[in-house]
Amino acid sequence: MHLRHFTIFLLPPKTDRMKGLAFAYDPDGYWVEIVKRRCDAGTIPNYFNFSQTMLRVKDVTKSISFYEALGMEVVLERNFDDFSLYFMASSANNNLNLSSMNDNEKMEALGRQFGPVLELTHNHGTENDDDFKYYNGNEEDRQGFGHTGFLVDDVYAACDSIREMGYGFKKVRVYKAAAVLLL
Amino acid sequence: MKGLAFAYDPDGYAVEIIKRGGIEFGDKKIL
Repeated sequence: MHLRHFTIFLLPPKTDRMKGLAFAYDPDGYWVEIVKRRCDAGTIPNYFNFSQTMLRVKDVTKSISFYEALGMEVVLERNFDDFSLYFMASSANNNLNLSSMNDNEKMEALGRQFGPVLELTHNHGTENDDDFKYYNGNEEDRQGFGHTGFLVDDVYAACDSIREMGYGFKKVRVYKAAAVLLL
Repeated sequence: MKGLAFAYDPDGYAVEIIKRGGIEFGDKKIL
């Protein structure tokens, strides 16, 4: 079934504004960005391959440091008048020699990648507003986005390293609920 | 339960940390 048969597009494809790019709504209204792959058709067998999750972040310096500590690195940075985009990928999956490429070459190379990236969107100035805060999707009455996920060999060591950075953890009550489901 | 935790990133987004190779619930291992 073609996506167009059951999806309302927020921004339809083939507009003059953005060619090779469209935004669809999923059944819950989450935005799904559809981007033209940068390699020949058939190189990657799936018509769709999961490519990115975008998070709006208040202070991108803090966020980049956090995700770098989780083994990611910035593979592409795009700066616009009032916002910037930072694409991060797990270092172990990044076998591209991106450091020698210009931005257009990086975009071409990343557009051929199968593995996903984390896209951090920084709207300039939010980092200086003490009252500014993004909804994380898990607050009472504002539930939506859930979480990202990372695989590690040793969860305890990984948690210790995150704790040392000063960041907290969710209470374990959810684990009991998950355990009940598995019995 | 071993092999799963949820951290918060700087904006409060939940980050799930999962043991590579599976999660253990008592003597049950979920791959």
